[in-house]
Amino acid sequence: MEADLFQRLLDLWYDPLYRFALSLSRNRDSALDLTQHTFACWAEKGGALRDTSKAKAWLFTVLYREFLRNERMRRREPTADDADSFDRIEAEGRSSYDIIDGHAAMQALQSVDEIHRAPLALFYLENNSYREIAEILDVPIGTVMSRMSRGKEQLRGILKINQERRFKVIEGKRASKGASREQ
Amino acid sequence: MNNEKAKLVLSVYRPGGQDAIDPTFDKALDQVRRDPAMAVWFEEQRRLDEQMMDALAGFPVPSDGRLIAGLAIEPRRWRFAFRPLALAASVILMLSLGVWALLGDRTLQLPETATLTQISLYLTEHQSSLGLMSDDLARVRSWLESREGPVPGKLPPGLAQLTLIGCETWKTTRGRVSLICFMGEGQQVAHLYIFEGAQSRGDLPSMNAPSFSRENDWLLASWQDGRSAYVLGAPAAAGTVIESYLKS
Repeated sequence: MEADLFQRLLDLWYDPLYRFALSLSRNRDSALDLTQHTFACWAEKGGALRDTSKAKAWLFTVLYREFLRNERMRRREPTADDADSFDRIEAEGRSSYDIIDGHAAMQALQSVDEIHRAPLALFYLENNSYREIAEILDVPIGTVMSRMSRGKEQLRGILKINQERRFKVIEGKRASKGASREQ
Repeated sequence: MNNEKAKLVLSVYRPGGQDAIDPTFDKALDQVRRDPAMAVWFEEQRRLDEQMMDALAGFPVPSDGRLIAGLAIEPRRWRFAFRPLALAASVILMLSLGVWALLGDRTLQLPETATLTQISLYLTEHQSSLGLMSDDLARVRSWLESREGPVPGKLPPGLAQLTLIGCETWKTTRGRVSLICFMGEGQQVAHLYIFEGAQSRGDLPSMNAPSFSRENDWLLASWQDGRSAYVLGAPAAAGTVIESYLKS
C-alpha cells in the first residue's frame, strides 16, 4: 500500500516538482537532485503524514526548503554563478507577449528575482491558489500577493526585452540574407 | 478599493476561474467592472497568465529522473516489513490462512509468447523497485546467488565502468530473471536483465555482436553468453549511445 501511494505520488507530482525545482535552481542537475531529495524524504518521513491529501503541499514545501538550504550553503562558498545575477527590469507599457514555447517561458521565469520566482513558479506551474502558495512557502497571504504582483511586473519586462531581442535577431538575419542576394 | 490595491489582490487570481467564488476577490473584481483601464489591465494579465501556464505545461522533463526517484521507496519498504507490530500481525495472518507455501512460491506471471526485450520492458514498467541497493558488484552477485537468481558472467566493459545502483531478482513463469541497475553520466540509468537458461533462446547473437532495437522510448541490446541471455536497456530520451556500454 505504501509503495502504491509512493508510485501514485511519483506519477502525479514528479513532473511538476521537477519543473518547480528547475525554475528555482536554473540548473538541470540541481533540479534533478532537488526532486530526488524530495521523494527520498517522502520515502523516509512521508508515512508520518496522516492526511495524504496534504501530500502535494508537503512535497513542494520539502523541495523549496531544500532549495533554500542549498542556496544558503552556496552563498557561503561564492562561485562564478554569483556573477550571473539578473538586472531588475521594469515593464514599460502593456502588450501581449510572444511566448514561443516552454523553454522561452522557463527562461523568462528563471530570470525573475529569486524571492518573486518561487510564488510565480507555484502559480504558473501547478495553478496553485494563493492559500496553497502561502502554505508551501510559509509566508502570509499578503506577502504572496505583493511578491506575485512584483514578480509579474518583472516578468512582463523580461518577456518584452526577450521579444525585442528575438526581433532584432530575425531582422539581422533578414538583412544579412538581403545583402548576400544583392552581392 | 483603489486600483493599486485591486491589482495587488488580482495578481493571485487564477485565469481558469477557480477563484471566482472566493470573496477575497469580490471588491477587486468590482473595480475591474467599473474602471475600463482596470479591465484592460486585467485582460492583459489573464492573457499573460494563460500563455505562461500553457507554455510551461509543455516543458520537457527528463524521463530517467523519475526512475531514479522511484528507487527511494526501497529502504523504507524493508524497514516497514520489520516493524515489530506489523511483522507480528503478518505472521498471525499468514499462519491462520496457511499461506506460507504461497508466499514461498510467488511467481510472476509472464506471457509465453513475449520476447525477452518485451519482458524486460514490462519489468521496467511494473517492477521498477530494487531488492538490494549497493554499489558493490561482489555483494550484488552474492545477493542474487543467495536468492537463486541468474548472476551475470563477465560484464560488458563499458557497463562495468558505470556506477552500480542495486539489483533485484524474480521467479517468473518464464524462468528466473535478475536485474542489475547502473547509473551513467548525467544520472542516466541502464538496466541489465539476465535470463536463466539461454539454451532455449538459440536465436540470440553472441555478446560480440549483440542485437540492437528500440521499443517504447528505450534503447535495447540483447545477446547470450554461456547459460544466460541478457537484455540491456537505457532510456532513448537521455541521448544514450547504448553501444558504448558494450565496448571497452
